[in-house]
Amino acid sequence: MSEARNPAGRVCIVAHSHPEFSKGGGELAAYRQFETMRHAGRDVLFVGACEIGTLYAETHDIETVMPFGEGEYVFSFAGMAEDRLAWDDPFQRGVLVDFLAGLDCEVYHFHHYWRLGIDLIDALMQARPKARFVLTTHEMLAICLHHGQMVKTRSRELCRKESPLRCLACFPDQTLERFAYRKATLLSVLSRFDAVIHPSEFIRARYRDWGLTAPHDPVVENYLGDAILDQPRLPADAATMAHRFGFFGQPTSFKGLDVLLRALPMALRGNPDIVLTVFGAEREDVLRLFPTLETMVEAAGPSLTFAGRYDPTDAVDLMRSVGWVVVPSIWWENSPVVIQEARRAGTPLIVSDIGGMAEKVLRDVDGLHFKRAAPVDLARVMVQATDPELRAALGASIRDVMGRAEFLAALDAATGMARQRS
Amino acid sequence: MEVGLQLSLKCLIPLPDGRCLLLGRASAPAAVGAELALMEGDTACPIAHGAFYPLPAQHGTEGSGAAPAHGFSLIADRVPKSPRLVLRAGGGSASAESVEHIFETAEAAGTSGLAKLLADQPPALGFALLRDAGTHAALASLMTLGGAPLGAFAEWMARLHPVRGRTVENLPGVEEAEALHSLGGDILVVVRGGAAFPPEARLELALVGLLPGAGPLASRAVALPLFDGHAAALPQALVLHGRIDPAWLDRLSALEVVLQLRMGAEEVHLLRCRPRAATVPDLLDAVCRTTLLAEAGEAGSTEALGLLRLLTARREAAFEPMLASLAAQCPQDADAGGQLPRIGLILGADDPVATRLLQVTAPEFEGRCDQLLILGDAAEEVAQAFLRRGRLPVLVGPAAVAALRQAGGVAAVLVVEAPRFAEAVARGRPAEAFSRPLGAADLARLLALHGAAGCEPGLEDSLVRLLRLERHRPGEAAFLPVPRGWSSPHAAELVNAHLARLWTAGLKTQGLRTEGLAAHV
Repeated sequence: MSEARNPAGRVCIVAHSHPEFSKGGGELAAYRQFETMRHAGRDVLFVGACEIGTLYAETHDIETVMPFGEGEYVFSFAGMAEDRLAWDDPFQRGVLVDFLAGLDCEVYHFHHYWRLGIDLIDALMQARPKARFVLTTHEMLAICLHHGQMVKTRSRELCRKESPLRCLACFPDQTLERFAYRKATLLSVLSRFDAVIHPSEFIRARYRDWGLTAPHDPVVENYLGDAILDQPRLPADAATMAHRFGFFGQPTSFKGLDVLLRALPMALRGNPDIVLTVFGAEREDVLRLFPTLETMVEAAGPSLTFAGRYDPTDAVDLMRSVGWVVVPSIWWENSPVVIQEARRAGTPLIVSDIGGMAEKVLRDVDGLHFKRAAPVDLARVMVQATDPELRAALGASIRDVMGRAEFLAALDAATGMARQRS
Repeated sequence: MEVGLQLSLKCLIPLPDGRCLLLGRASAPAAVGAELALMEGDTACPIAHGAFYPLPAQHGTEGSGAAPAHGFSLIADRVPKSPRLVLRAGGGSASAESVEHIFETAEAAGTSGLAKLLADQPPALGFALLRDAGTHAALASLMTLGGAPLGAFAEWMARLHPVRGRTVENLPGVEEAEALHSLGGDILVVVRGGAAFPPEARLELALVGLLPGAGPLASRAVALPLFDGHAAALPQALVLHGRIDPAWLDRLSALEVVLQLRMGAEEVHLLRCRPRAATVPDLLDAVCRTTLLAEAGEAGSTEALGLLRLLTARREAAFEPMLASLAAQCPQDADAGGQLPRIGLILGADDPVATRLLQVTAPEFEGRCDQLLILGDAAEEVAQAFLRRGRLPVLVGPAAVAALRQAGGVAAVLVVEAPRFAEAVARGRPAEAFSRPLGAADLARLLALHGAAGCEPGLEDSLVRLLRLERHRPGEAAFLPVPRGWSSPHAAELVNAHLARLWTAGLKTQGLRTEGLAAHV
């Protein structure tokens, strides 16, 4: 290692991806933590899973772990099982464990366990018994086999509690024993973490209900990053912006873009000035996923625009170009980065009234709520939101996100580094 | 010679132990007490064993009104010089002095003579000798005459009609012959017909086992005694149930049944078949099973269910005292293992998914056990989780079962059911999944229950059921019904209730729920 050892101890952030290769909220949060700690003079390393290296490993020899910049490494997870929760290839797992253990860190801070492997975490804990282990959760994969969404597979209804029989209703080809093994395996290892950081009260409650009660489990907001927080928070002209709505993100089936597109014609009947811009997808992307919405998309005409993909670093700027950011997810969400970015931009939000969205967007402070998966109610709220006075009021009251010093202090308290630093 | 009394002596065969076997034919008027005496000069030669068997008319005295003919076999304590056989009946007597075949030595009889004689005689003679060889040591020596595996019976048995599977071919009126044996020594034979059997139809059996030797030619046949036998006739089936000493089953390399199906005075058929190993529920359910071509609803007829009730009652009378005694020796709160080495036993390792759990919880086992046994469909894969760590010797499959059987008295066994272990880990209390250390008495009880009331071929199911008994709470079912395709729900109810009584034999019945077991059809 070329870095000088910091007396407060070296921290290794182990993430399920490197944002260079995918830009999900979890890996962005992990990497922003790495950058922030490094800028603060901390002795910190980043080790992330690498999809590109994993695909390459299918046809060519490749090192399991590769350097990827100063203090940064990526690894191939080609030896993992299909569900990416454990390793089929114990040799590759061993290589990665040896590498991580050899980094000689006081703290191993995992972001997620998917693509990292619960068995790898167990082995590293045994290899480094005196190190502190910290986990930041990013969704509920341990609890729910359905991509960790806690949404029922056949009805898209919300699931409020895990149990083997409930899970069997969603996955009838599984067995009760398999659900029991899965839960026990994950809970056994996750319970051994010294701290589990949850980005929302909501997700902490879900993990506690599931049985994860042993570790210290503070709620610490994901940090948005120094670069975004350095940008000025500018007031917007409410009269101009009140009828402009924006959707930001991937048009996956859980993000609720279809709910928004169904609401749009009804909202236009209430206020024909409404315009909606979809950031993150082209028209074709959306219709490929929701072909039955073609008629509605056609009928919306110039009131609907697809802006295509965007760079996450541009998100806050783009959010300033709309009057409202709509987050219509049909799943619970944890702590969506879109909400953080909108709050940083000073753009109020309209969100589904559940889970992490309802928690992070205080009603009538940061934005408005609508009934989850209900286009009629969303249309009602959109029409209500076109009132410039309401837009101005919420544009003034919307809270900013967690600052750098506050984040580092919360992180130190959670990881136990605060004691060592004092 | 008195009118109506006839006697002839077919052969005399010296036996290896100095005794001799005499075969012959006698007829006496019906309803007249008859007795045979073997004389050597004026001295009666002691008879150690005698048996009569009816002969078809053409082999006895011909003509209407003739006295019924019987074959007989006698074993005399010594080989008489100038033997004279005397038949006394109804105040009269008949005697026979000439012997059609006299064999000088046992070996001479065994190599060809007796075999030929048996082959030429009515089949009932061979059957009677074979059956009696199971109970009389002197006759048992016939099984080894001549050095062939079946001795004097080799040729005779080779001529019997073999039954392949269940189907009986070339025997009008008989469609199936199903023979089964259980680990506990039950023997059940059911002969099923396409129509009702005649009222006088009877079923008998003789059992032959093959003891393995050092080489293929060193195998030795033994005739096995059947005890507690009970034969019954159902509308379209003949049933015979009995038991052999279960210790035989561990020693034998093969078991065969010779069936004598007597359809009437003149019609006797002999069949030869190999009993299929069956669980107790499978064996008992066979009483109510029907042929494939039977009308729906015939399974579990009133008569069959009545017989099933009788057989289960007989089994309970035979097994319950022993099981109750064993249960009394196994207090549930005892550390039966004392200071013995601890063997961990993981049951139900059927899903490879369990490997992940056991891998991350391996220290739970390494800290408690000196050796680990793993049973289940995925045992090999699950074992890798421990073998890779190299901290615990691990056995799987048959080797694990053998180690479990041998553990009594030398090790205490800590049993963990894999699915229950998962639940305990999820509760954060993995220790709760480990059974108390099971000692020699527990293992003896387990093996006895498995033999008398085992519901699956493998020992694992019985162990799971035993552990369930140990942790049962009032109101819970102590015995879970056997999930299988039953011949009828009524048979399922009867057999499950019977099994439940055996499993709970000797336990305090308060709070144990075994009645009203639902049938899993």
